[in-house]
Amino acid sequence: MDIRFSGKSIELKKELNSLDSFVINFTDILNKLDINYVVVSGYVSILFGRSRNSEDIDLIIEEMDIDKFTELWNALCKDFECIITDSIKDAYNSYLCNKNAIRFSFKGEFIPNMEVKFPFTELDKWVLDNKIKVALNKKSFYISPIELQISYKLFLGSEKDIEDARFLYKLFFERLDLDLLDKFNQKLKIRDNLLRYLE
Amino acid sequence: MKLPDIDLDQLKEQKKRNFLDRLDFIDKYAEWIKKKNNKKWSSEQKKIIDHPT
Repeated sequence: MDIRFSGKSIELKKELNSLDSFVINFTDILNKLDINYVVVSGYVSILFGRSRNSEDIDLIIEEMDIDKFTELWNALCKDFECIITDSIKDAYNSYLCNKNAIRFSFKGEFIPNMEVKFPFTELDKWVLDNKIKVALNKKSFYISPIELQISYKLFLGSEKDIEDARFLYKLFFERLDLDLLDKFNQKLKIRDNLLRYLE
Repeated sequence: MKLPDIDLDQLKEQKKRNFLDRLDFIDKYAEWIKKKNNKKWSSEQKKIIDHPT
């Protein structure tokens, strides 16, 4: 694997699959509007080669007022459509501001879709502030730190999540900040019966 | 039609073994990715994601 780490950024070239292209297309709009966001959860594993598909990609965006959200909505709706509601006000008030996610797919499609939410937990806020920049075939977007993904996936605890955690741990073991990983494992109260799946 | 006798403990044991087998596969797969160039592993991954059988 040819991958370049430098500080809070990762540079990677790969043959893009449809999920990669979906993420690049979506985040390109967020980048142009200078919106703070971070891609989290399963796609982080898939980006680095995990051999599974996903119907959705999880994304946290900064809280914003209705005017900024309307600007984002209009920009997204050139290529994407919200599959939860077609009302901007409903999306903003009933979903995002009510701690629920909205989903966008390419127009006329349903999967994959981007599951978008405002930061709700302290962990959501932390990951927005500590995101990692990925340069993928010279297109840039932001993902969660790998250490948090490993710990959080163990916290979620399904077989698929444990497999994602183990894949990232094994792939990046030499690069991981093991102290940070340990701190997250303690914060999330990851028990030994789950931690053993990393070894 | 006569249905088989089902031993749930046996099925649970099989489920556990399958999971451990997948974890073992993931270890080997991660090692394989590390050794291969990006074009190789990403084109293999693309087959799984874009053209699932």
